Amino acid sequence: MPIYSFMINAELISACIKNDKTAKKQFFESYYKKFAFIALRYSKNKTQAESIVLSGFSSVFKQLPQIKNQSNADYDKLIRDHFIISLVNEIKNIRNEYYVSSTIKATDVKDKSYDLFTDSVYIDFRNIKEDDLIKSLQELVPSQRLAFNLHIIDGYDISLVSTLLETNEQTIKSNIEKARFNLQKNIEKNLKIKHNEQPV
Amino acid sequence: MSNQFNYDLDERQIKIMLQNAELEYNEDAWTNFEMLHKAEPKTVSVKSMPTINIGISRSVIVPIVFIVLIGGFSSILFSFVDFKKKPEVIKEIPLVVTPYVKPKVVEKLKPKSKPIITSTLSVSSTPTLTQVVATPTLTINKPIAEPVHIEKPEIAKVLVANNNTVNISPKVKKIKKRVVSEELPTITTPINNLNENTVEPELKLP
Repeated sequence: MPIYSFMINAELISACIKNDKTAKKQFFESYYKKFAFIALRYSKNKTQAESIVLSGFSSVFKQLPQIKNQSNADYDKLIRDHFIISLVNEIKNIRNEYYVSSTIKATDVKDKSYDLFTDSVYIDFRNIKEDDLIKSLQELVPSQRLAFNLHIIDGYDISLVSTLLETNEQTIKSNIEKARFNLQKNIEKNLKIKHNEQPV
Repeated sequence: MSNQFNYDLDERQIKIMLQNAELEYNEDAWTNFEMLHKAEPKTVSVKSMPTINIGISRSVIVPIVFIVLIGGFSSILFSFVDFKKKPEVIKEIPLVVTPYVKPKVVEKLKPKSKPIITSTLSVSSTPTLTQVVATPTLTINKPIAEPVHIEKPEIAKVLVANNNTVNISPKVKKIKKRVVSEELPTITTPINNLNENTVEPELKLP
């Protein structure tokens, strides 16, 4: 079995197109770590992330001939973009989850009972851990989660995001604002719960 | 959303953190991917023939197809119609060559029988004239030595049947009898007014 450790990306891609198993496995191993985390922040939980990462990889393998045809291109960026688009389409296709959840309005529900010790916990939003951030992000409704991930984290334009999500730009902007508010609230809530669970 | 909301999240830091984050590679992921890949039906079809794309517009193809159709149809129709008159094929029936036999002179003319005049004087002193004229018959039996080209096949068949002998009977001209018409005497009558001296009877009324 040949080992493609010396290979540059173009050769690895052409080997994958020829359906070389070793090359495919090497491609999978090299991109899995990053792509699995991307899938984790786009999905609602770990199980969904595991399933969509595999479907995302299979869609990337199908798109490899097109990616290779683009001359003077950054293959890593192209592959990443294809993967993200396939993830978005996959989540959008879960219609009952995507559209029903998107109709829920983000509201700030205040607790009637005021706990002095619970609410007085200081939250440093500048030092949030990765797990807490991911968990809070996963708790967002899919439309807000997708909009936040695409625009804020992955840096796509509003117009491109609106095209991908098949909505107008105002809706995307609104969703991003809601996502910001809800994300902070989710982080706050999760950190408070975490603080309360810790043994004194 | 409440009006007292303060956004404290540092998006830049979040972006850096989430973009560079990675998960640990798990070998089970590859096996799961292989299982999923095997389960998917292969839709790749191997094309034996290369695809040829010729840029012919529709406005060219359609008239050509119509011309070919009309031409084909008219050629089928013309195949049923013959405009040229075919020359009649004359089949020469070869005559059976028989060994040359010296022809026997059959040509014999019967001598004309002289009319016999018999006159008898009867006692009743009324003379009768009886004239017997024998009609001569001409029979010529000539063997045909040379092959004769005969156009009519019926005659040729007859010739073959009669061993190349021709029987010619002389034509007897029919003598038209003159009919003597009787001349009726013309009667000359004076033309008078027929109504003269005639009296019409008058009707008697009751």
